[in-house]
Amino acid sequence: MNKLCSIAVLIAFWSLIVFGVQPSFAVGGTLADQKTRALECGVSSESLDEVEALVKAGSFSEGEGVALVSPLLTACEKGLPVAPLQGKLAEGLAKQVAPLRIVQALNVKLEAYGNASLLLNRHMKSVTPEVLGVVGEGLSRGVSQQDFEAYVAEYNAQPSEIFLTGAEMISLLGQIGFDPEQTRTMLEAGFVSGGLTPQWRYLVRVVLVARQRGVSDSTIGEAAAAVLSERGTVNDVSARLGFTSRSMTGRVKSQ
Amino acid sequence: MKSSIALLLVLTVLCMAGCAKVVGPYYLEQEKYAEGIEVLGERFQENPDDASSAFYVGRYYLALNEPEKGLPYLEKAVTLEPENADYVFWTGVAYWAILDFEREEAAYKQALRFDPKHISANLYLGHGYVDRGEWAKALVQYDKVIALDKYNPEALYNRAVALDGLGETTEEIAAWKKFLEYYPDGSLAMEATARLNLQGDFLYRNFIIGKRNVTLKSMTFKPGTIHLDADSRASLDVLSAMMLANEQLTLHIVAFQQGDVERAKVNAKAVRDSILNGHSDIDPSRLLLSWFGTAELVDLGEKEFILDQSVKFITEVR
Repeated sequence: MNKLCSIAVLIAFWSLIVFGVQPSFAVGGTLADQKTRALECGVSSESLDEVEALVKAGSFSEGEGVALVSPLLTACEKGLPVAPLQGKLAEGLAKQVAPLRIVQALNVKLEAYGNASLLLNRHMKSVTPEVLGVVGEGLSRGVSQQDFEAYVAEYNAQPSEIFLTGAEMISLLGQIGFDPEQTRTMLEAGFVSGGLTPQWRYLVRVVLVARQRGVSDSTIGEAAAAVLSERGTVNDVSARLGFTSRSMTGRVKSQ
Repeated sequence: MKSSIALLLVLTVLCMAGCAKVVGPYYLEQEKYAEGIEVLGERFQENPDDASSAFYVGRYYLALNEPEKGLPYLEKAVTLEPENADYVFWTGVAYWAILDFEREEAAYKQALRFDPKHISANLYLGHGYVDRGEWAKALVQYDKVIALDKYNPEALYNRAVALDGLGETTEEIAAWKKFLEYYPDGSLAMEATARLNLQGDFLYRNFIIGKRNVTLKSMTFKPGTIHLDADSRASLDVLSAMMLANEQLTLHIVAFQQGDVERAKVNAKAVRDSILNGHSDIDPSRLLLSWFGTAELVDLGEKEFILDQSVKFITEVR
């Protein structure tokens, strides 16, 4: 099994080179070297130790170990967020996913975060780790780069917290295939009224429930834009769409 | 002033004595949430095992519409007293507020395991079912609530919504009427009336009187007479009161009677006389009469209805 996996990893690297795709990490050196560099860079030891232990136990080959650690090292050295990659690695190891597939998943994330970094730096003087994380995660989960690009280009001067909330909405709504035009309309309404609070990132949940009830995205978008214009809350969107409410104070509503 | 100081003193002493269960509701009832957070938050810091303090701090944050801040306190209260149905229930409300509906439902179910008669947990579990269109399950919950609390307005209202979802029109109409019987005023009454009317029942109707939307019981007469029913007169008392409060208010009373214009005229006059009865301060010229020997066509947008006999009220625009 280990041999098969090693061969698969080698084939994967060969394919990347033959088909002209540059692997976004440099595979080389020993696992020990990689681990030392990663620790020096600031990668937490937990995942590194786990990979090392699996190699020592014979579950993975040295090459597989190197391939698994490399994306983390590359992310760290490029100043990209490492935690999401570590999370993905830990998840893959816990589920006993084949090393090649974990490496592939890590590279997808690495590439997405790299693209996110380029995209944000094109339009912004300083990029917070939070925004980089949101855009990177969104791109890695299939959200259109074009949607993020348009958002960042137009709204990068907004206060950082509001800008982050908007980016989260682009990401989360994009991941469920919500009409990006509707998203932009509601964000515009929120920016104009100043009503876009961090709570609005949860709008995605209302969208999912509303869709279950057969409410169209355009109806949801219009309701959200109207509520945002009035500086209302996400729960107001829910009520506007005919959903029930809860008393946050414990008082009963009879009127 | 003295009594406020005395009350504050008592509360302080109670708080010092560790009675969050006594002090906690005070800040909720007085809507002094920020103050409550300060007092019980401090108490909780000093006594991290005090579930009651954690619970109330969580409640205050919720009341301030800051569920993200409140949830950790509520969860802490549950950790400290895992079988307290109230504590578990309120985590459910906080989950709803952050739109985590799965955990919200789980919380209510957990609360009901500890206290099957927890009215609010039964109610909000039903609300979750309504939002997902699980009408039959919602109906079961609302029936449980009404069995525990006959006049619970949200259960009465949403029971009708669930019956609508199930397509049980006859029962739905009865449910709207039941709700309106107990709660004839306010925005829920207006919505209930609109939905009742959509099912072709016009026992109640909404009218714009002055600048307000008002739900009134429809004008009905004792069989074979020109005398208004008691319920109709009660509705007209509302109009009298509004006219007394607003001297600028002038109303058109428009009566319809299919095939009998004379009866329509009599009905319009009967309604006017009832409004004026005992209210000499209201100038009769502020009540303008119209009558038609035809049925009234009610256009509700998606549906139209024909009412053989009716009386409607229209505010005079000047």
